[in-house]
Amino acid sequence: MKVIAGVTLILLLAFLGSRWTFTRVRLPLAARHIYLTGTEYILIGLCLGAALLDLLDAPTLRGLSPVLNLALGWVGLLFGIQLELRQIKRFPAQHLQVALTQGLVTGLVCAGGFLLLPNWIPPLPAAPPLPGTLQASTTTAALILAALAVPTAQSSLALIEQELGARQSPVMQILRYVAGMDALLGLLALGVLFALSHEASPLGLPPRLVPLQILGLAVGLGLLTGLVLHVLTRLQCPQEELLLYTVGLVVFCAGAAAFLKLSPLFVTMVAGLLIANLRGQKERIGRVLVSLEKPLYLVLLLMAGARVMPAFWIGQGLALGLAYAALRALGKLCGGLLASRLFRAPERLSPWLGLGLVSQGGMAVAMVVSFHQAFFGPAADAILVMVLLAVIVNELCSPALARRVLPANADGGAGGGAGNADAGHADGQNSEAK
Amino acid sequence: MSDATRPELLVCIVKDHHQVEEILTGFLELGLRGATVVDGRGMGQILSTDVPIFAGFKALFPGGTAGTYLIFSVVQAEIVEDAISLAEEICGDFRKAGTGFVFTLPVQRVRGLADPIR
Repeated sequence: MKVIAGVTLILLLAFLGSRWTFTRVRLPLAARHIYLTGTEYILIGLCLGAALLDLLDAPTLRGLSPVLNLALGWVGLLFGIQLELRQIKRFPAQHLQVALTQGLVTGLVCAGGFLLLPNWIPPLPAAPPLPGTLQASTTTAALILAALAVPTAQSSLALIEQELGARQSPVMQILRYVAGMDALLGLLALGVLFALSHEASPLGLPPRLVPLQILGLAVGLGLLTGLVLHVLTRLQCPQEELLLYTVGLVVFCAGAAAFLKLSPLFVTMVAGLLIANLRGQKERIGRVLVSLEKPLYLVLLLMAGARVMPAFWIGQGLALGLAYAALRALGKLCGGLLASRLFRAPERLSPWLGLGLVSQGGMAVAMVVSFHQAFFGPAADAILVMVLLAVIVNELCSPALARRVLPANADGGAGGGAGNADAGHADGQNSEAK
Repeated sequence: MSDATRPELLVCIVKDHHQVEEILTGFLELGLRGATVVDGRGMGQILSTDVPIFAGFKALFPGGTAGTYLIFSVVQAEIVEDAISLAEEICGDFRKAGTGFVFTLPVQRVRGLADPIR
Protein backbone atom coordinates (compact mmCIF):
# COMPACT_ATOMS: atom_id res chain seq x y z
CA MET A 1 0.00 0.00 0.00
CA LYS A 2 2.81 2.39 0.92
CA VAL A 3 4.51 1.63 -2.41
CA ILE A 4 1.36 2.56 -4.35
CA ALA A 5 1.07 5.77 -2.34
CA GLY A 6 4.76 6.44 -2.97
CA VAL A 7 4.42 5.94 -6.73
CA THR A 8 1.39 8.24 -6.81
CA LEU A 9 3.15 10.91 -4.77
CA ILE A 10 6.35 10.83 -6.81
CA LEU A 11 4.58 10.86 -10.18
CA LEU A 12 2.18 13.59 -9.08
CA LEU A 13 5.01 15.79 -7.84
CA ALA A 14 7.07 15.13 -10.94
CA PHE A 15 4.33 15.87 -13.47
CA LEU A 16 2.99 18.92 -11.63
CA GLY A 17 6.54 20.08 -11.00
CA SER A 18 7.51 19.76 -14.63
CA ARG A 19 4.69 22.21 -15.47
CA TRP A 20 5.57 24.76 -12.80
CA THR A 21 9.32 24.48 -12.62
CA PHE A 22 11.48 25.52 -15.56
CA THR A 23 9.44 28.72 -16.00
CA ARG A 24 10.80 32.24 -15.88
CA VAL A 25 10.58 33.88 -12.44
CA ARG A 26 12.16 36.94 -10.87
CA LEU A 27 14.78 35.63 -8.46
CA PRO A 28 18.44 36.39 -7.73
CA LEU A 29 20.76 34.82 -10.30
CA ALA A 30 21.94 31.80 -8.30
CA ALA A 31 18.46 31.07 -6.90
CA ARG A 32 17.03 31.31 -10.41
CA HIS A 33 19.49 28.68 -11.59
CA ILE A 34 18.52 26.41 -8.71
CA TYR A 35 14.83 26.89 -9.54
CA LEU A 36 15.13 26.60 -13.32
CA THR A 37 17.20 23.44 -13.14
CA GLY A 38 14.82 21.85 -10.62
CA THR A 39 17.56 21.30 -8.04
CA GLU A 40 15.14 22.19 -5.22
CA TYR A 41 13.47 18.80 -5.76
CA ILE A 42 16.46 17.16 -4.05
CA LEU A 43 15.43 19.01 -0.89
CA ILE A 44 11.75 18.04 -1.38
CA GLY A 45 12.86 14.42 -1.74
CA LEU A 46 14.96 14.78 1.41
CA CYS A 47 11.89 15.98 3.31
CA LEU A 48 9.80 13.05 2.02
CA GLY A 49 12.48 10.47 2.84
CA ALA A 50 13.75 8.91 6.03
CA ALA A 51 15.51 12.14 6.96
CA LEU A 52 12.23 13.91 7.86
CA LEU A 53 8.70 12.72 7.02
CA ASP A 54 9.59 9.08 6.31
CA LEU A 55 6.90 8.83 3.61
CA LEU A 56 9.48 7.28 1.29
CA ASP A 57 11.31 4.87 3.58
CA ALA A 58 13.83 2.24 2.45
CA PRO A 59 11.29 -0.57 1.68
CA THR A 60 9.08 1.88 -0.24
CA LEU A 61 12.08 3.10 -2.23
CA ARG A 62 12.96 -0.51 -3.08
CA GLY A 63 9.37 -0.98 -4.26
CA LEU A 64 9.76 2.08 -6.46
CA SER A 65 12.77 0.57 -8.25
CA PRO A 66 10.89 0.08 -11.57
CA VAL A 67 10.07 3.81 -11.66
CA LEU A 68 13.69 4.64 -10.87
CA ASN A 69 14.92 2.22 -13.53
CA LEU A 70 12.63 3.83 -16.09
CA ALA A 71 13.97 7.29 -15.23
CA LEU A 72 17.61 6.13 -15.35
CA GLY A 73 17.09 4.22 -18.59
CA TRP A 74 15.31 7.19 -20.14
CA VAL A 75 18.19 9.52 -19.29
CA GLY A 76 20.79 7.08 -20.64
CA LEU A 77 18.91 6.54 -23.91
CA LEU A 78 18.29 10.27 -24.34
CA PHE A 79 21.94 11.06 -23.84
CA GLY A 80 23.16 8.22 -26.06
CA ILE A 81 20.86 9.09 -28.95
CA GLN A 82 22.61 12.45 -29.30
CA LEU A 83 25.99 10.84 -29.92
CA GLU A 84 25.92 10.80 -33.69
CA LEU A 85 29.56 10.27 -34.63
CA ARG A 86 29.14 11.93 -38.04
CA GLN A 87 28.10 15.15 -36.29
CA ILE A 88 30.64 14.93 -33.48
CA LYS A 89 33.49 14.56 -35.98
CA ARG A 90 32.60 17.95 -37.50
CA PHE A 91 34.09 19.77 -34.52
CA PRO A 92 37.78 20.69 -34.43
CA ALA A 93 40.08 18.18 -32.75
CA GLN A 94 40.88 20.89 -30.21
CA HIS A 95 37.39 20.55 -28.72
CA LEU A 96 37.88 16.84 -28.04
CA GLN A 97 41.41 17.41 -26.72
CA VAL A 98 40.15 20.06 -24.29
CA ALA A 99 37.25 17.84 -23.19
CA LEU A 100 39.49 14.83 -22.52
CA THR A 101 42.19 16.88 -20.78
CA GLN A 102 39.94 18.73 -18.37
CA GLY A 103 37.86 15.58 -17.71
CA LEU A 104 40.94 13.53 -16.87
CA VAL A 105 42.47 16.26 -14.72
CA THR A 106 39.20 16.73 -12.80
CA GLY A 107 38.94 12.99 -12.24
CA LEU A 108 42.57 12.73 -11.14
CA VAL A 109 42.31 15.64 -8.70
CA CYS A 110 39.17 14.21 -7.07
CA ALA A 111 40.40 10.61 -7.00
CA GLY A 112 43.80 11.70 -5.69
CA GLY A 113 42.27 13.88 -2.99
CA PHE A 114 40.06 11.12 -1.60
CA LEU A 115 42.67 8.38 -1.97
CA LEU A 116 45.04 10.47 0.13
CA LEU A 117 42.42 11.41 2.72
CA PRO A 118 42.52 8.70 5.42
CA ASN A 119 39.37 7.22 6.93
CA TRP A 120 36.97 9.58 5.23
CA ILE A 121 34.23 6.98 4.92
CA PRO A 122 32.16 7.40 8.10
CA PRO A 123 31.29 4.43 10.34
CA LEU A 124 27.57 4.67 9.59
CA PRO A 125 25.08 2.13 10.89
CA ALA A 126 24.54 0.43 7.54
CA ALA A 127 21.47 -1.67 6.87
CA PRO A 128 22.15 -5.36 6.17
CA PRO A 129 23.01 -5.77 2.49
CA LEU A 130 20.40 -7.03 0.09
CA PRO A 131 21.38 -10.19 -1.77
CA GLY A 132 23.61 -9.39 -4.71
CA THR A 133 24.33 -5.75 -3.86
CA LEU A 134 27.89 -4.61 -4.45
CA GLN A 135 30.20 -3.13 -1.88
CA ALA A 136 32.48 -0.19 -2.61
CA SER A 137 36.02 -0.34 -1.27
CA THR A 138 37.81 2.88 -0.34
CA THR A 139 39.59 2.85 -3.71
CA THR A 140 36.37 2.21 -5.64
CA ALA A 141 34.65 4.97 -3.66
CA ALA A 142 37.39 7.46 -4.56
CA LEU A 143 37.24 6.42 -8.23
CA ILE A 144 33.43 6.70 -8.26
CA LEU A 145 33.70 10.21 -6.81
CA ALA A 146 36.14 11.01 -9.60
CA ALA A 147 33.76 9.68 -12.28
CA LEU A 148 30.88 11.67 -10.77
CA ALA A 149 32.99 14.82 -10.77
CA VAL A 150 33.52 14.80 -14.53
CA PRO A 151 30.02 15.68 -15.87
CA THR A 152 29.11 19.31 -16.45
CA ALA A 153 25.51 20.53 -16.53
CA GLN A 154 24.20 21.34 -20.00
CA SER A 155 21.16 22.98 -18.40
CA SER A 156 23.20 25.55 -16.52
CA LEU A 157 25.22 26.42 -19.62
CA ALA A 158 21.99 26.78 -21.62
CA LEU A 159 20.62 29.19 -19.01
CA ILE A 160 23.80 31.24 -18.98
CA GLU A 161 23.74 31.26 -22.78
CA GLN A 162 20.18 32.64 -22.74
CA GLU A 163 21.00 35.25 -20.10
CA LEU A 164 24.16 36.53 -21.74
CA GLY A 165 23.05 36.19 -25.35
CA ALA A 166 26.09 34.02 -25.90
CA ARG A 167 24.56 31.61 -28.39
CA GLN A 168 27.18 32.08 -31.09
CA SER A 169 30.13 32.75 -28.82
CA PRO A 170 33.06 30.40 -29.59
CA VAL A 171 33.70 30.08 -25.85
CA MET A 172 30.14 28.92 -25.28
CA GLN A 173 30.38 26.50 -28.19
CA ILE A 174 33.46 24.85 -26.69
CA LEU A 175 31.93 24.81 -23.18
CA ARG A 176 28.81 23.06 -24.45
CA TYR A 177 30.86 20.57 -26.44
CA VAL A 178 33.01 19.83 -23.39
CA ALA A 179 29.86 19.43 -21.26
CA GLY A 180 28.52 16.84 -23.73
CA MET A 181 31.77 14.91 -23.79
CA ASP A 182 32.10 15.16 -20.00
CA ALA A 183 28.89 13.22 -19.55
CA LEU A 184 30.14 10.56 -21.96
CA LEU A 185 33.45 10.26 -20.09
CA GLY A 186 31.65 10.04 -16.76
CA LEU A 187 29.26 7.35 -17.99
CA LEU A 188 32.07 5.29 -19.51
CA ALA A 189 33.97 5.48 -16.23
CA LEU A 190 30.82 4.49 -14.32
CA GLY A 191 30.32 1.45 -16.58
CA VAL A 192 33.92 0.34 -16.06
CA LEU A 193 33.75 0.85 -12.28
CA PHE A 194 30.56 -1.21 -12.06
CA ALA A 195 32.34 -3.97 -13.98
CA LEU A 196 35.39 -3.80 -11.69
CA SER A 197 33.22 -4.09 -8.58
CA HIS A 198 31.71 -7.47 -9.48
CA GLU A 199 33.39 -10.43 -7.86
CA ALA A 200 31.49 -13.11 -9.73
CA SER A 201 29.82 -13.38 -13.08
CA PRO A 202 26.04 -12.97 -12.79
CA LEU A 203 25.62 -15.52 -15.60
CA GLY A 204 27.46 -18.24 -13.69
CA LEU A 205 30.41 -18.25 -16.09
CA PRO A 206 33.89 -19.29 -14.84
CA PRO A 207 35.35 -16.58 -12.58
CA ARG A 208 38.00 -15.47 -15.05
CA LEU A 209 38.24 -11.90 -16.31
CA VAL A 210 34.98 -11.09 -14.52
CA PRO A 211 35.19 -7.31 -15.25
CA LEU A 212 35.49 -8.03 -18.97
CA GLN A 213 32.53 -10.41 -18.80
CA ILE A 214 30.45 -7.77 -17.02
CA LEU A 215 31.46 -5.03 -19.45
CA GLY A 216 30.66 -7.31 -22.38
CA LEU A 217 27.30 -8.12 -20.83
CA ALA A 218 26.47 -4.43 -20.35
CA VAL A 219 27.49 -3.48 -23.89
CA GLY A 220 25.72 -6.53 -25.34
CA LEU A 221 22.48 -5.77 -23.51
CA GLY A 222 22.65 -2.17 -24.70
CA LEU A 223 23.35 -3.12 -28.31
CA LEU A 224 20.54 -5.69 -28.29
CA THR A 225 18.05 -3.16 -26.94
CA GLY A 226 19.16 -0.53 -29.43
CA LEU A 227 18.90 -2.98 -32.31
CA VAL A 228 15.39 -4.12 -31.32
CA LEU A 229 14.17 -0.52 -30.96
CA HIS A 230 15.74 0.36 -34.30
CA VAL A 231 14.13 -2.59 -36.10
CA LEU A 232 10.71 -2.02 -34.49
CA THR A 233 10.65 1.65 -35.42
CA ARG A 234 12.58 1.53 -38.72
CA LEU A 235 9.47 1.42 -40.84
CA GLN A 236 6.85 4.12 -40.40
CA CYS A 237 5.05 3.49 -37.15
CA PRO A 238 2.44 5.75 -35.56
CA GLN A 239 3.48 8.02 -32.70
CA GLU A 240 1.58 5.97 -30.12
CA GLU A 241 3.40 2.78 -31.13
CA LEU A 242 6.73 4.58 -31.09
CA LEU A 243 6.10 5.77 -27.53
CA LEU A 244 5.00 2.29 -26.49
CA TYR A 245 8.08 0.60 -27.98
CA THR A 246 10.39 3.18 -26.41
CA VAL A 247 8.88 2.93 -22.93
CA GLY A 248 8.71 -0.87 -23.12
CA LEU A 249 12.29 -1.32 -24.21
CA VAL A 250 13.64 1.20 -21.71
CA VAL A 251 11.80 -0.58 -18.89
CA PHE A 252 13.07 -3.96 -20.09
CA CYS A 253 16.67 -2.87 -20.64
CA ALA A 254 17.02 -0.77 -17.47
CA GLY A 255 15.25 -3.43 -15.39
CA ALA A 256 17.51 -6.19 -16.72
CA ALA A 257 20.57 -4.00 -16.09
CA ALA A 258 19.51 -3.28 -12.50
CA PHE A 259 18.79 -6.99 -11.91
CA LEU A 260 22.28 -7.89 -13.14
CA LYS A 261 23.82 -5.06 -11.06
CA LEU A 262 24.87 -3.15 -14.14
CA SER A 263 24.29 0.56 -14.51
CA PRO A 264 20.98 1.17 -16.36
CA LEU A 265 22.39 4.54 -17.39
CA PHE A 266 25.40 3.02 -19.09
CA VAL A 267 23.49 0.18 -20.75
CA THR A 268 20.78 2.42 -22.25
CA MET A 269 23.42 4.95 -23.30
CA VAL A 270 24.97 2.17 -25.41
CA ALA A 271 21.51 1.47 -26.90
CA GLY A 272 21.09 5.16 -27.74
CA LEU A 273 24.56 5.34 -29.26
CA LEU A 274 23.70 2.49 -31.63
CA ILE A 275 20.39 4.07 -32.68
CA ALA A 276 22.06 7.45 -33.20
CA ASN A 277 24.48 5.96 -35.70
CA LEU A 278 21.98 3.94 -37.74
CA ARG A 279 19.62 5.30 -40.35
CA GLY A 280 16.19 5.14 -38.79
CA GLN A 281 13.69 7.03 -36.69
CA LYS A 282 16.26 8.51 -34.31
CA GLU A 283 14.83 12.02 -34.68
CA ARG A 284 11.34 10.85 -33.73
CA ILE A 285 12.60 8.66 -30.89
CA GLY A 286 14.64 11.63 -29.68
CA ARG A 287 11.54 13.85 -29.64
CA VAL A 288 9.61 11.22 -27.65
CA LEU A 289 12.45 11.02 -25.14
CA VAL A 290 12.70 14.82 -24.81
CA SER A 291 8.95 15.07 -24.23
CA LEU A 292 9.26 13.17 -20.94
CA GLU A 293 12.74 14.37 -20.00
CA LYS A 294 11.67 16.87 -17.36
CA PRO A 295 9.15 14.82 -15.34
CA LEU A 296 11.55 11.87 -15.24
CA TYR A 297 14.41 14.16 -14.22
CA LEU A 298 12.27 15.39 -11.32
CA VAL A 299 11.56 11.74 -10.39
CA LEU A 300 15.33 11.22 -10.22
CA LEU A 301 15.87 14.31 -8.07
CA LEU A 302 13.04 13.38 -5.67
CA MET A 303 14.29 9.81 -5.29
CA ALA A 304 17.88 10.98 -4.89
CA GLY A 305 16.87 13.25 -2.00
CA ALA A 306 14.71 10.54 -0.42
CA ARG A 307 17.61 8.05 -0.38
CA VAL A 308 19.75 10.24 1.87
CA MET A 309 20.59 8.70 5.25
CA PRO A 310 19.63 11.21 7.94
CA ALA A 311 22.56 10.27 10.20
CA PHE A 312 25.10 11.51 7.71
CA TRP A 313 23.37 14.68 6.51
CA ILE A 314 24.79 17.13 9.05
CA GLY A 315 28.36 17.42 10.28
CA GLN A 316 30.77 15.14 8.50
CA GLY A 317 28.59 14.84 5.41
CA LEU A 318 28.42 18.60 5.02
CA ALA A 319 32.17 18.99 5.44
CA LEU A 320 32.97 16.17 3.02
CA GLY A 321 30.43 17.47 0.50
CA LEU A 322 31.97 20.93 0.55
CA ALA A 323 35.46 19.46 0.29
CA TYR A 324 34.33 17.41 -2.71
CA ALA A 325 32.77 20.45 -4.39
CA ALA A 326 35.98 22.43 -3.82
CA LEU A 327 38.19 19.62 -5.16
CA ARG A 328 35.99 19.26 -8.22
CA ALA A 329 36.09 23.01 -8.91
CA LEU A 330 39.88 22.92 -8.50
CA GLY A 331 40.07 20.01 -10.93
CA LYS A 332 37.93 21.84 -13.51
CA LEU A 333 40.05 24.98 -13.11
CA CYS A 334 43.35 23.10 -13.43
CA GLY A 335 41.98 21.04 -16.33
CA GLY A 336 40.89 24.17 -18.19
CA LEU A 337 44.22 25.85 -17.51
CA LEU A 338 46.22 22.87 -18.74
CA ALA A 339 44.02 22.46 -21.84
CA SER A 340 44.38 26.15 -22.71
CA ARG A 341 48.17 25.81 -22.49
CA LEU A 342 48.40 22.56 -24.46
CA PHE A 343 45.89 23.18 -27.25
CA ARG A 344 46.08 26.66 -28.75
CA ALA A 345 44.71 26.15 -32.25
CA PRO A 346 42.40 26.95 -33.98
CA GLU A 347 41.09 29.07 -31.07
CA ARG A 348 43.20 30.57 -28.30
CA LEU A 349 41.40 29.62 -25.14
CA SER A 350 40.96 31.46 -21.90
CA PRO A 351 43.04 29.94 -19.08
CA TRP A 352 39.91 30.39 -16.95
CA LEU A 353 37.87 28.06 -19.16
CA GLY A 354 37.28 25.70 -16.23
CA LEU A 355 35.19 28.36 -14.46
CA GLY A 356 32.52 27.79 -17.08
CA LEU A 357 32.39 24.08 -16.28
CA VAL A 358 31.71 24.18 -12.53
CA SER A 359 28.00 23.38 -12.67
CA GLN A 360 27.58 19.62 -12.12
CA GLY A 361 23.91 19.06 -12.81
CA GLY A 362 21.54 16.31 -13.82
CA MET A 363 23.88 13.65 -15.17
CA ALA A 364 25.85 13.55 -11.91
CA VAL A 365 22.57 13.11 -9.98
CA ALA A 366 21.50 10.28 -12.31
CA MET A 367 24.91 8.62 -11.98
CA VAL A 368 25.00 8.81 -8.19
CA VAL A 369 21.46 7.39 -7.92
CA SER A 370 22.45 4.55 -10.26
CA PHE A 371 25.51 3.89 -8.08
CA HIS A 372 23.52 4.04 -4.84
CA GLN A 373 20.95 1.62 -6.25
CA ALA A 374 23.54 -1.10 -6.88
CA PHE A 375 25.96 -0.55 -3.98
CA PHE A 376 25.37 -0.68 -0.24
CA GLY A 377 27.24 0.38 2.83
CA PRO A 378 28.59 3.57 4.40
CA ALA A 379 30.65 4.48 1.34
CA ALA A 380 27.57 4.45 -0.92
CA ASP A 381 25.54 6.54 1.56
CA ALA A 382 28.39 9.00 2.05
CA ILE A 383 28.97 9.42 -1.68
CA LEU A 384 25.27 10.09 -2.28
CA VAL A 385 25.22 12.91 0.26
CA MET A 386 28.53 14.37 -0.91
CA VAL A 387 27.52 14.46 -4.56
CA LEU A 388 24.06 15.92 -3.90
CA LEU A 389 25.59 18.63 -1.73
CA ALA A 390 28.20 19.36 -4.37
CA VAL A 391 25.48 19.60 -7.05
CA ILE A 392 23.58 22.19 -4.99
CA VAL A 393 26.71 24.18 -4.09
CA ASN A 394 27.98 24.12 -7.66
CA GLU A 395 24.59 25.22 -8.98
CA LEU A 396 24.72 28.20 -6.62
CA CYS A 397 28.27 29.21 -7.55
CA SER A 398 28.44 28.38 -11.23
CA PRO A 399 26.49 31.33 -12.75
CA ALA A 400 28.80 33.92 -11.22
CA LEU A 401 31.91 31.89 -12.10
CA ALA A 402 30.79 31.29 -15.68
CA ARG A 403 30.27 35.02 -16.16
CA ARG A 404 34.01 35.44 -15.62
CA VAL A 405 34.60 33.52 -18.85
CA LEU A 406 31.55 34.78 -20.72
CA PRO A 407 30.84 38.50 -20.38
CA ALA A 408 27.42 39.94 -21.27
CA ASN A 409 26.59 40.08 -24.98
CA ALA A 410 29.23 37.49 -25.67
CA ASP A 411 27.92 36.93 -29.17
CA GLY A 412 30.14 38.23 -31.88
CA GLY A 413 33.34 36.80 -30.87
CA ALA A 414 36.12 37.10 -28.49
CA GLY A 415 34.21 36.36 -25.33
CA GLY A 416 37.03 37.91 -23.41
CA GLY A 417 36.18 37.37 -19.79
CA ALA A 418 38.74 37.38 -17.03
CA GLY A 419 42.06 36.90 -18.68
CA ASN A 420 40.42 35.62 -21.83
CA ALA A 421 42.96 35.52 -24.58
CA ASP A 422 40.34 34.41 -27.04
CA ALA A 423 40.41 36.42 -30.21
CA GLY A 424 38.01 34.16 -31.99
CA HIS A 425 35.20 34.86 -34.35
CA ALA A 426 31.55 34.03 -34.41
CA ASP A 427 30.53 33.36 -37.93
CA GLY A 428 27.53 31.52 -36.59
CA GLN A 429 25.57 29.23 -38.81
CA ASN A 430 24.77 31.68 -41.56
CA SER A 431 25.43 30.24 -44.91
CA GLU A 432 25.54 31.72 -48.32
CA ALA A 433 24.37 29.62 -51.17
CA LYS A 434 25.42 32.04 -53.83
CA MET B 1 11.65 46.52 -67.19
CA SER B 2 8.68 44.24 -67.95
CA ASP B 3 6.53 42.81 -65.16
CA ALA B 4 7.90 39.32 -65.78
CA THR B 5 11.51 40.37 -65.26
CA ARG B 6 10.77 42.74 -62.35
CA PRO B 7 12.79 41.49 -59.36
CA GLU B 8 11.12 40.55 -56.12
CA LEU B 9 12.63 39.61 -52.78
CA LEU B 10 11.36 36.19 -51.81
CA VAL B 11 11.51 35.54 -48.07
CA CYS B 12 10.82 32.02 -46.98
CA ILE B 13 10.75 31.14 -43.26
CA VAL B 14 11.04 27.44 -42.41
CA LYS B 15 11.58 25.44 -39.22
CA ASP B 16 13.58 22.44 -40.35
CA HIS B 17 17.14 22.55 -41.62
CA HIS B 18 16.54 19.49 -43.83
CA GLN B 19 13.83 21.46 -45.60
CA VAL B 20 16.28 24.32 -46.16
CA GLU B 21 18.59 22.04 -48.10
CA GLU B 22 15.71 20.67 -50.16
CA ILE B 23 14.43 24.15 -50.97
CA LEU B 24 17.88 25.35 -52.03
CA THR B 25 18.30 22.32 -54.29
CA GLY B 26 14.86 23.02 -55.76
CA PHE B 27 15.80 26.67 -56.33
CA LEU B 28 18.80 25.56 -58.37
CA GLU B 29 16.53 23.42 -60.50
CA LEU B 30 14.25 26.44 -61.03
CA GLY B 31 17.23 28.38 -62.30
CA LEU B 32 17.80 30.57 -59.26
CA ARG B 33 21.44 31.48 -58.91
CA GLY B 34 21.54 32.09 -55.22
CA ALA B 35 19.91 32.53 -51.87
CA THR B 36 21.07 33.59 -48.46
CA VAL B 37 20.11 31.58 -45.40
CA VAL B 38 20.02 33.22 -42.00
CA ASP B 39 19.68 31.21 -38.81
CA GLY B 40 17.10 32.88 -36.60
CA ARG B 41 14.73 32.32 -33.74
CA GLY B 42 11.00 32.84 -33.71
CA MET B 43 9.11 34.78 -31.03
CA GLY B 44 7.96 31.59 -29.32
CA GLN B 45 11.48 30.22 -29.26
CA ILE B 46 12.81 33.38 -27.60
CA LEU B 47 10.04 33.64 -25.03
CA SER B 48 10.16 29.97 -24.09
CA THR B 49 12.44 29.08 -21.19
CA ASP B 50 12.96 25.55 -22.34
CA VAL B 51 16.16 24.35 -20.72
CA PRO B 52 17.60 21.07 -21.94
CA ILE B 53 18.58 18.87 -19.01
CA PHE B 54 20.15 15.93 -20.82
CA ALA B 55 19.52 16.79 -24.46
CA GLY B 56 21.71 19.87 -24.69
CA PHE B 57 24.56 18.28 -26.63
CA LYS B 58 22.48 17.91 -29.77
CA ALA B 59 21.84 21.65 -29.76
CA LEU B 60 25.41 22.11 -31.00
CA PHE B 61 24.73 20.22 -34.22
CA PRO B 62 23.23 21.86 -37.30
CA GLY B 63 19.46 21.68 -36.94
CA GLY B 64 19.83 20.43 -33.38
CA THR B 65 17.78 23.24 -31.87
CA ALA B 66 14.25 24.33 -32.55
CA GLY B 67 15.38 27.11 -34.83
CA THR B 68 14.00 29.16 -37.65
CA TYR B 69 15.70 29.58 -41.00
CA LEU B 70 15.15 32.60 -43.20
CA ILE B 71 15.86 32.09 -46.88
CA PHE B 72 16.29 35.32 -48.86
CA SER B 73 16.45 35.32 -52.61
CA VAL B 74 15.97 38.07 -55.19
CA VAL B 75 14.07 36.40 -58.03
CA GLN B 76 12.40 37.41 -61.26
CA ALA B 77 8.63 37.81 -60.89
CA GLU B 78 8.03 35.13 -63.51
CA ILE B 79 9.38 32.37 -61.28
CA VAL B 80 8.08 33.61 -57.92
CA GLU B 81 5.00 31.42 -58.08
CA ASP B 82 7.08 28.33 -58.93
CA ALA B 83 9.43 29.06 -56.04
CA ILE B 84 6.54 29.48 -53.60
CA SER B 85 4.92 26.25 -54.80
CA LEU B 86 8.22 24.44 -54.41
CA ALA B 87 8.64 25.69 -50.81
CA GLU B 88 5.07 24.69 -49.95
CA GLU B 89 5.55 21.27 -51.52
CA ILE B 90 8.56 20.69 -49.28
CA CYS B 91 7.32 22.28 -46.04
CA GLY B 92 3.65 21.33 -46.29
CA ASP B 93 0.57 23.50 -46.39
CA PHE B 94 1.66 26.94 -45.14
CA ARG B 95 -1.86 27.58 -43.83
CA LYS B 96 -1.15 25.04 -41.08
CA ALA B 97 0.50 26.53 -38.00
CA GLY B 98 4.16 25.67 -37.49
CA THR B 99 5.01 24.79 -41.08
CA GLY B 100 6.56 28.17 -41.89
CA PHE B 101 5.53 30.92 -44.25
CA VAL B 102 6.59 32.80 -47.32
CA PHE B 103 6.17 36.33 -48.65
CA THR B 104 7.61 38.56 -51.33
CA LEU B 105 8.51 42.24 -51.42
CA PRO B 106 8.98 44.43 -54.45
CA VAL B 107 12.61 45.34 -55.05
CA GLN B 108 13.14 48.98 -56.07
CA ARG B 109 16.72 48.70 -57.16
CA VAL B 110 19.21 45.89 -57.46
CA ARG B 111 22.84 45.71 -58.43
CA GLY B 112 25.11 42.68 -58.57
CA LEU B 113 22.40 40.11 -59.18
CA ALA B 114 23.58 37.29 -61.42
CA ASP B 115 21.52 36.26 -64.42
CA PRO B 116 19.25 33.27 -63.84
CA ILE B 117 20.50 29.88 -65.00
CA ARG B 118 18.91 29.06 -68.36
